[in-house]
Amino acid sequence: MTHRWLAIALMLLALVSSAEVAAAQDPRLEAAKREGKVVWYTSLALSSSEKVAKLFETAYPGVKVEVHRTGSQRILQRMMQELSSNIKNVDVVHTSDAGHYVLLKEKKLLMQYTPAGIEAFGAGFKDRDGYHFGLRATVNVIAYNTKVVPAAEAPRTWKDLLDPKWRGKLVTAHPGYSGVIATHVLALVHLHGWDYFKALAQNKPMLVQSAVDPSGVVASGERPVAVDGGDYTFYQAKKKGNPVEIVYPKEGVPLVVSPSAITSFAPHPNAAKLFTDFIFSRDVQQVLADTEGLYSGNPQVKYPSDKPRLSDLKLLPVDAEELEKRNEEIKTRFVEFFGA
Amino acid sequence: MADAASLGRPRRWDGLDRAAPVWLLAAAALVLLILLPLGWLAYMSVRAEHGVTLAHYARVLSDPPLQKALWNTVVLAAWSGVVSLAIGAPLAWLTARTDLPWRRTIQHLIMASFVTPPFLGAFAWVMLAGPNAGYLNRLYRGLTGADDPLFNIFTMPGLIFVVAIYTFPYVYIMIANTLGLIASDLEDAAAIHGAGRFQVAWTITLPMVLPAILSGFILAVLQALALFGSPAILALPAGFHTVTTQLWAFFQYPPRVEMAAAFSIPLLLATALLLLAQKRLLGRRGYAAVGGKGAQRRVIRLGRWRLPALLACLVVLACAVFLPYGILLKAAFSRAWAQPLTLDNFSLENWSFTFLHSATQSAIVNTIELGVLTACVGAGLATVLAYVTNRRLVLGHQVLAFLAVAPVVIPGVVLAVALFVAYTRPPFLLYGTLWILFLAYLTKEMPVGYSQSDATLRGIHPELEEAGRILGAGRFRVLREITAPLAKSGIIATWCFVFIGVIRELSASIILFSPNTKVMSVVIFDLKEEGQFGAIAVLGVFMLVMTFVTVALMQTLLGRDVMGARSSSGAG
Amino acid sequence: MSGVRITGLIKRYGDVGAVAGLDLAVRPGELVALLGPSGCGKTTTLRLVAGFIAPDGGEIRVGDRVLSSPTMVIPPERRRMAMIFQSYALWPHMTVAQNVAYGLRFAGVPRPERERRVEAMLEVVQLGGYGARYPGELSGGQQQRVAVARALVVEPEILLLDEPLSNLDASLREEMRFEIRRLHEQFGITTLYVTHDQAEAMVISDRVAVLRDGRVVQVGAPQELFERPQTRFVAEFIGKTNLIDAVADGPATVARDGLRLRVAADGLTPRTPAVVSIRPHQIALGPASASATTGLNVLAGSVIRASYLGDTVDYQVRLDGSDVVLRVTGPTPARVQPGESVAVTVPPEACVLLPAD
Repeated sequence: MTHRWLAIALMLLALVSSAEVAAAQDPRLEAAKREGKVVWYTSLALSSSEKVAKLFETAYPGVKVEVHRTGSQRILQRMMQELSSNIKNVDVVHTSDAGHYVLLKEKKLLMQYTPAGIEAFGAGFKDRDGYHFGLRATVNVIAYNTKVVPAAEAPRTWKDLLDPKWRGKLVTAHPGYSGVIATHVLALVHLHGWDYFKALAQNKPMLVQSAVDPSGVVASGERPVAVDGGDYTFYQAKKKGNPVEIVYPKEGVPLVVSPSAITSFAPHPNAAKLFTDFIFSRDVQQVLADTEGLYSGNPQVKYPSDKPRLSDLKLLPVDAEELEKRNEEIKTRFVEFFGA
Repeated sequence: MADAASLGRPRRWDGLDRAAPVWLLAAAALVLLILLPLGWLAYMSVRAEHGVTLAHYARVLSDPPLQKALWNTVVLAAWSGVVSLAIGAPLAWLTARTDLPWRRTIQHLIMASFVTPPFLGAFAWVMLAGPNAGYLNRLYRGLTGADDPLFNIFTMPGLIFVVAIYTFPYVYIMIANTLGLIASDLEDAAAIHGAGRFQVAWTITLPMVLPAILSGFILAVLQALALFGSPAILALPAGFHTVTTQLWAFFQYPPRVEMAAAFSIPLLLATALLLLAQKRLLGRRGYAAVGGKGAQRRVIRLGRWRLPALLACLVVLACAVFLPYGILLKAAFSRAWAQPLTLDNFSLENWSFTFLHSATQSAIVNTIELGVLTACVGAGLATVLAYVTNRRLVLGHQVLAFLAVAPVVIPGVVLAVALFVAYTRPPFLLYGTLWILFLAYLTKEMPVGYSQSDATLRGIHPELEEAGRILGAGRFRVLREITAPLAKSGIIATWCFVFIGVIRELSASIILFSPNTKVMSVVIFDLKEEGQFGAIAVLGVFMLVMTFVTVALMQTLLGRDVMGARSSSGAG
Repeated sequence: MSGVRITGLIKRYGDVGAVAGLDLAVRPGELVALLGPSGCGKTTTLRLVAGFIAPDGGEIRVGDRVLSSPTMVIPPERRRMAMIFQSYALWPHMTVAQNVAYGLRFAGVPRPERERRVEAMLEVVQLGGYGARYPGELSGGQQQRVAVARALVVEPEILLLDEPLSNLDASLREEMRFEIRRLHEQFGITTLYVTHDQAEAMVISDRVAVLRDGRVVQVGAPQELFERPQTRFVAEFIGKTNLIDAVADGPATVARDGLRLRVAADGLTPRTPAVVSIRPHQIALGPASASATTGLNVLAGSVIRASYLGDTVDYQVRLDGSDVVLRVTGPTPARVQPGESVAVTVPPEACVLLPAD
């Protein structure tokens, strides 16, 4: 027994030291330490992004991660605002609106950088010019509070939500804030047309901002049914013991791939590259899948048994170029229907 | 006498005040602070590719959603004024003139409601009166078995309610101060001529308090017009905009600054007109006529109405203070705010999460830095300006006095739009630094600071300084050795008012912050968008503690109740 | 020792001329009161002399030095003056001794010497031992004395006083008048004293300058002003008087209706308007039957009111055949009652002729 434990301990020690050797050999680490930090504008939920940051800081002592978490649309707005005032602050930018990367690439604000180990990722996660890569994926779903809504009465399809019995019982996040939701709206417009949202607005959903927020609203019972929101947020709420159940509508679920990229003007380029490699590493991708319930582009990542495989779902992908072009239309029409 | 020799040879320079550069500098700073952004705002609202255009105005005034936002603001402001009046006026009368029990305590609690950041109140009321999960609604359903909520806070009436419970102190202060000045002789005089108790109230007391009532009403309306936090928290989820939230929405990418500028102007004009009306009201029948200082005031006995009146006061205070503070505390210490606070649910997780979060840490540091810096510079500048205008040291000192209080009419969001336009382009590239927030706070707090300093300096007879001058002390020495020691407590009070105002500021910050220059209120707002109730509650409690510590510090230092003094400072 | 010479002094506030071409010369060591009703410009003049405000025209000189002119104003701290204010202007955050010692710091007096002089000066104003008190702990009269001590201890070249006694009650005010006069005689400082109280001005000053609308209308010793006022304004402002509008009808007589008065003048041009001033105490009342003494004006009249004032009786007498009502001051007790006919006797030298306005 003792021998076996010893053997395992020695093996682990060897692993760690080899990682240390590898890290020490990476010439970028010294440069990154000199830079001191990496600034990350991210739309990943605050608790998740803080967790990733802490993991990185543990792996690379001496390089801090400055997390600025807000909605995808706010990230773009702040970034452009800073640039127009000639402020170069952000190193790594991560939003859930793929359209943003079309815009940023066109404006030559992204750096060409291929993270280590990205080859294994699925095609939908890779920019063919090598500027940005999908850090995570989620699908938009319906979710309900099981204490308020019996499973038999729960909505099964997107169209079920139009039933007047849900009037005053729904919550939606906002495409003017969240890239996940902007993607969602475009996918459903393709599926059911704008009339769907016009009809949905008749049920007077409560408007929240972030795609993270509907899960909280449903969990507290403030509104029993969420008409959108990333499935991982509901998954997390459920894991915490909240009375939340997730519905994957049969018509298909909008797939949201959230890209990450290094900016062309990154003030801490070495730390940014180190950080990008880190977040695309299999380990971190696995962490995101395990603890956050996110999907990864890396086929080696294992998912919890209570989450459906992406391949089992009917996915509704959205073209980034179109998302970029129709961004204004999505926001305007949404406000037109829902009021704010 | 030290200079006896030079007395014989008068020089040209003798005629000049050696302190003049200081006065001129302060005056120039004020002019720059206020006119530069407003000038840019006006220009931006009519800017076109070539020359000027009214197209932006045409667009904002003809767009139906924007018209709707304007109308919502009108409804919100008018009703908030009415409700504030309905709460504030009776409370003022009860505490100022009757034998209501616990009057001092009630006054203090009203002041607590006064210093509570309205957006925190709004946030607390989401937890209290959200239609389904709201604490009070669940309680109501549990007790009655009803399906419908008692009260839905995400509605216009809900918004009006939350705005009013934090705005009524303005009405209260105006009326309580006036009632405190009306001598009972005036009422007795009417009674001797045969008027009954109600006739006295109707024909004597009411007309004398009327200007205060109206002006309190206007102050409340002004507050409601300018608020950003409460509508953002309560109106947006309900699917409607007000002018302030709409202005903020204009800053989403791609920002439509020209539209924002054009849409700011109606709000600016409305507040300016209201303030003018208020000045007129107060100016016509002079308050001085209301009563002398030594006048006796008789306490009116409430008799059997004493307890019902107390109960009514407590209900108001429960809405404004007890319930919101209670739910914030509860949320700060629970895992799930909507669940009962059992041992299981008790947790310090929110505290560690909040304070370990890097954005929160830097926001707290930023907030305190900005608070201290703005309070120091603001109190200093306000004191110098009040000195200049009180002692009439420069030409055009009346203009300075006007400019110093002028920002009262500029809602925070509008000010932010103006500063944004002014300081995101050369020669002043301040966006992304704390300086742009500093300028916003300094401008916004100038009316409060100036009014406070003005009152302080009015209390220092100019002859005290002249006595020093004629005995041989120069202007600066007199300022240092005579004026400053005498104004000390007033300056400390000014400092505290500005500090409290800065740490709670949201409406300008929300437009001017950048990721590196977040302040606490912005972080709270960010967390709100993500539904992080526990973390918000923690930050909210922290902010309230900072506020009350400042108030307590100020009262200990000055040895008197200072909040009442703010009544003169206008809308703040 | 220097005097003060003010020439053509002008100070305007907006369109209003607070001081409108004022001339005044104060001799070295003299105490001159600036006396006038409120708004006459007396306080403005004093503040111009102190250097708190700059003139729009004219000059202020002390000795041969120009202190103020429209182009140049020596600041107050370099004028070697001291001032006593209406509000006393004692600094509440300093003790009595600190208040008094303040000016000595700028006179280059070493500290031990300063303390000695402060203590001595407090003795002079009868406040010995009060040095450690704060002004708030003193009575009004004591505060007044501190203000006096603070001004005198620096031995100023010029002393300015701005209504210093107006905040005291009547008996204390009377006491302080004599006190200030005593101190002036002791120190002999050239002094300008602003007051609206003619009795105060007369008790205290060597000379009184009567101001009206920003100008000096008459300067003179108190007795001279009282007995020989040069204008109707001065006659009315200094003491009580009866003014009768009349017309000259002889070289030394004037007439009004049926009334003829011999006056203290000679060579009047007949039919020119004239104003006669008669002080109430210079008129005597007698029984209607009293025989006329040669050379006196004796007029018949009837008493319409007699007011008992304690030490005197104030009569109002209507002269027969005229609308003129004379105020007459008589000794107590009242010897005539309202309704009685009386003979009014006025010596011609009591009838002072003034230029008609």
